[in-house]
Order: sequence, then structure tokens, then C-alpha cells
Amino acid sequence: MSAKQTTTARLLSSTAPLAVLVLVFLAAWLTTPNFAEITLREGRFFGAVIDILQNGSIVCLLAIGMTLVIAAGFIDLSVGSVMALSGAAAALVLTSPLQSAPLAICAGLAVGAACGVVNGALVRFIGLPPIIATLVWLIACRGIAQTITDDQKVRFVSPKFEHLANGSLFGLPLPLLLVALIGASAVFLVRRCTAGLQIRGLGASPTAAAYCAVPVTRITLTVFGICGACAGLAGMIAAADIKEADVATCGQYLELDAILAVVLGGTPLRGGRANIIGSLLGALSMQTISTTMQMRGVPAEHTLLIKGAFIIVATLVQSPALRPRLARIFLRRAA
Amino acid sequence: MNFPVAQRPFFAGLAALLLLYAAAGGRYHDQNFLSPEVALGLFSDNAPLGLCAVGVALVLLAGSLDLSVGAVMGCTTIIIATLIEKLHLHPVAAVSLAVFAATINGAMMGAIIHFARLPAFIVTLAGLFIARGGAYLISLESIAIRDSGYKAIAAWAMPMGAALRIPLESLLLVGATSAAWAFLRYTRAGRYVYALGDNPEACIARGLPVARTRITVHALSGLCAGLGGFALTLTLPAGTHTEGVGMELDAIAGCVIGGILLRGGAGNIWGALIGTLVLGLIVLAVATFETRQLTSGSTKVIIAGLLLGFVVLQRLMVGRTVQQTSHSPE
Repeated sequence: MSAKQTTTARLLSSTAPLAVLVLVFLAAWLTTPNFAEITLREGRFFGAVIDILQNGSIVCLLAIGMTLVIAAGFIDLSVGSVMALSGAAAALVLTSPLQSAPLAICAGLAVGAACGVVNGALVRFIGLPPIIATLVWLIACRGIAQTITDDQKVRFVSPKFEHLANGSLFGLPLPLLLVALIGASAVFLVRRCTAGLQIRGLGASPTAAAYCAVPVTRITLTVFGICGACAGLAGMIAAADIKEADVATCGQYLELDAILAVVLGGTPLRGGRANIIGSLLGALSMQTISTTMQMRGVPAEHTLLIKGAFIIVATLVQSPALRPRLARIFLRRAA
Repeated sequence: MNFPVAQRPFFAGLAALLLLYAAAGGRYHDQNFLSPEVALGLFSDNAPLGLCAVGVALVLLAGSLDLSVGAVMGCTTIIIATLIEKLHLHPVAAVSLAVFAATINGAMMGAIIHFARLPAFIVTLAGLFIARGGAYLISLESIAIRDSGYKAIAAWAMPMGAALRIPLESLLLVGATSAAWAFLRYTRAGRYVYALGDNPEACIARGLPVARTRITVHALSGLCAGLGGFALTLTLPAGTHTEGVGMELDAIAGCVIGGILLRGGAGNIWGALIGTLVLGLIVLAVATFETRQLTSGSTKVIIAGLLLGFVVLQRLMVGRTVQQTSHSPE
């Protein structure tokens, strides 16, 4: 491959997540009436696009945490259950005599982060493969959530807490702003901080990272902790949206959505690189598909099929075995 | 007697099963726990999970992973029910077709994992999505099977002595486990499964058929999940979407408890059955025999704790030889 071709290939792969989003968006816009309509009512924007941004915020948050975990060479399958547990914890604080929304949010975040740190500890100190460690925690977390709520949905009334999902600032939904803020911090962490370099180094080669005096324990616990805290926040947004904590179904299968968003965003599953913006674009592509399907009256269950096909296509394109072959075909056409 | 290191977790699982059974027998003595009916019920209630666990065990032994078994099992029940009730196919033809579809699905996942060199977990995760989505595409609602021929098959049971009858699904479970055991022990292809799980590089260097072996174990896992679906339609009898959710985790947990090493290459296939029975025993005790009110949440916590305990036990017993299996193929 010549230098020019390499540059073209790199440009293609870095713009791919955006291209996917644009394609999905265009398809939705062309096939669905009133898709791109945005109206301003009561100081707030409404419309399908805003819905996508608001409903997509949960997967966006999960995807940010998951990107860091995958970049460090791990995987976290427990985020969906962690969502359920922290949502339940926040709801229990809100229904307790304290009834304080800030305290509930702190509790939810702390529970999420603690769950993440436990995952990290299982991986680092006991040496379990991350898939198995987080699988154990996936089962345990939902079990704990069901136990502390006695298997009941916990309803709560707290206008302040509900702002988390339905509030707005400058006409934009609050969850969207939270995603933007956390996403920007994550980008800063990955690109501008030593810790970001260490995360990527650990993912690229654990042995080399250990020789280069990367604090492996601290980095492991940190990435899992951040991922857990993001899942905790996502769980509270999900609970605030429906004004109750539903431990049985909250976050089910969302770990798959988060991983899919990361894969679509161009972060390789073998670790070593982190593309936060790409993951966010990937999450929004998926939410666009879900919302469009919903608007067109397609049963929500059928979107599972489309998501599955998306994972296969996205990973095949990224596959180390197939990628050079695909690139060659594509570049020959372009030339 | 020779007691290989890698066999120790299997015997730990067996000991756990016997201890639990004895403890339950003592604790629920007045509720007639030790009767043969309860033991047989344990087999037939856990036949779907056990069959899935056997498939997962084969895949784990080859150093791979299958997260799609629960969804494939659910999808198979829907296909069987649709073929019989909507298309009025003969039950035998319907079951064969559905199980064949599950096998092909597994083989395709294996082929993608091998030829595209993708991590098994992401491909089988996609398989989970596709199987669930496909089941909903076939029918949004669960379908009850009312066909009289099928009812006759479901009601059939092998008479055993005076009062005991062994239901078909239990026979299926024991039969499939025996077949898998014979395959692994006495056929060349079966020995390749262990070799591949133990050291894939050495397999390539020695010219073993890596592609064929990998695709075979995934196809067999699909086959077992399909048979699990068949067993489920025998007990329900219906095609349903709600069964098998999260069963992939229970199946892996069963394998780990039964002493199948997560890094692959070592373990006894009967361990999958033993681990399944341990899980089944706990669920049975909590749901039926325990008088204190326990939520389903506490069952999950117990199972997760047990899984964690046995994974740690594996590491302690087999020691340093357990490598940290990365989720990425390199």
C-alpha cells in the first residue's frame, strides 16, 4: 500500500461512524414523514430528532464507560444489571423518610461505581477473565436489586429527581447535556491525560504496560469504576423517566447495545484504542433505528434482528482477517 | 488411582452435588425429598438447561464461548410450534427441521468466528440478538401446541419398574450427554476438541483440522440448544419467548460448577450435567421446599456466589496453569 492509500484508508475508518449515522439518518428522513421536524414549545424543542437524542442518552452513557473498559482490554457485561441496581437504590432513598433528590443521585452513582470497582477487583485480584467476572456480577446485581426491593416496582414522586430525565436547559433535554459533559470529559481523559495513555497502553499490551510502570491495578479499578458510575447514572435516568424503578426489566440487553455502539464507533474489541466520539455516534445510529422503527409501527422486538445483523456487519468490516481484503477491493474501485 | 490435576474441579462439583442432595434430603425429610419422583423431576425440569449446558461445555472445551444458547432454544420452540400449528407439518418433521436450523445457525457462527477471526463472545452475542429477533419475526405471540400427535409424544415415558416412568426429556438429556461423552472420548474429532482448547497454536503447527473442529463444536452447541428447545416444548407444551432468557449464563455456570475449565482443553462432559443438577437443586429447594419466603432475587445471588466460588476453586486447584483467557483472538 502506498502512503496515499494508507491515508485514504485511515480517513475512511475515522469517518465511518459518522457516515453510518448520516446514512441511517437519511434513510429515516426519506422513509418517515415529519422525521426532521423540530418545534419549539414552552421553551423546549420537540421532535423525532430530539427524542432520539433524549432516549439515546442512556445507551450513550453506557457506551462512554464501555469504550474506556474495552480500550483497556476488558469487557463489562454487567452494565444492564448495574443500571437496575442503582436505579433501585436511588428509588429506595427517594421513598425513605429522607426523600432527598441529591442524596438519591449520590447513592445511585456510588452504588454504580462500587459495582464497577468490584468487577475490576474480580478481574485484577482474583484474575478472572473479564467476561466471566462481569457475568457473575450481572447475575448477582439483578439478584441484589430484586432482593432489596422485594421484587416489587418502586414508585416515587420527586419532581427534582425526575428532572434528570425530563428536565431541560437552554431548550435542550438535560440527559443530552449530561452526555455531552461526560463525553467531553472522557475525550479529555483519553486524549490529554496520562491516565488516558495508560488505559490505551494497558489495552494494547498488558505485559508491556506492566514493564513501563503503568499502575495496572489503579487503571483497572478506575476504568471499571467509571463504567459502573456511567451505568449508575443511566439507571437513574431510566428510573426518573418512568417515575419508578423496575428491577426486573430495567437495562435488560442494554450491555449488548453498549458494546454494539462501541463496535460501530470504531473502537477495536481487542483494546488499545478509544474512540469516544465514534461510540456516541454509534449509539445515536442505533437509537435512530429504534425510534424510526417505533414511528413506523414496527414491533420493538424486530429491531433485535436488525441490531444483530448490524453487529455482524460492523465486526466483519473491522475483522483483522478480512479488513485488508475489503480495503483492497474498496480502494481499487476508488482508483 | 491416578488423579489428574485438571480432573479435580470435576470431582469438586460432584462432591458439591452429593453434599447438597444429602443436605436437602435431611432438611426436607418430612416433605419426602428423597423420593424417586423428586429425583426424576429434577432431571426432567432441568432437561432444557442441561442440554444447553452440554452444548456450552463442548464449546468451552474447544476454548470458545457460546452466549446464544438460550435464545436459540427459545427460537426453536417457536419454530416447532409454528410448523405444527400453522403449517400442519408432522411433529417429527417439524422437530427435525427446527433442530436442523439451530445446528446450521451454530455452524455459521463457528465459521464466522474462525474465518473472520472475531471474538466468539461478540459473534454469539449477535447470534443471541438474531435468534430472539427471528423468533419474534416468526410470531409475536407465544403459540400453544394442540396437535394430538405431539401431545402423544410429549406424554410418552419409559416405564421403569412398577410405578416409575422416565419422561422423554430426561432420556434426551442423559442420551445427549452420553453421546457427547462418547464423541469426545472415542472419536478422533472429539480428541481434536480437547487439543484445540488446550493449545490452538500447537494444533495449527501439527496440522490438525482447526476450522473443521471449531465449526463442529459450534454446530453441536446449536444442535444441543435445539434439542433443549424440543425438550422445553415437551414440558410446556408451547412455543414461547419468555423461556431461556439469561439461560446462557446459567449454562456457563453449570459447566463451571461441573469442573469444565474456562480456559478450555480440560474437563469432563458429565460435569455439565452435574453442574446443571446443582443449579436445579438450589432452584427447586428455594422455590418448592423452603418454607421461609425467598424472592427469586436471592436465588440469583446464591447462584452468582456459587459460580464465583467454583471459578476461584478452579484457579486454586489447577493453579498457575489457568491462563487468563483474553476475550480477543490473537
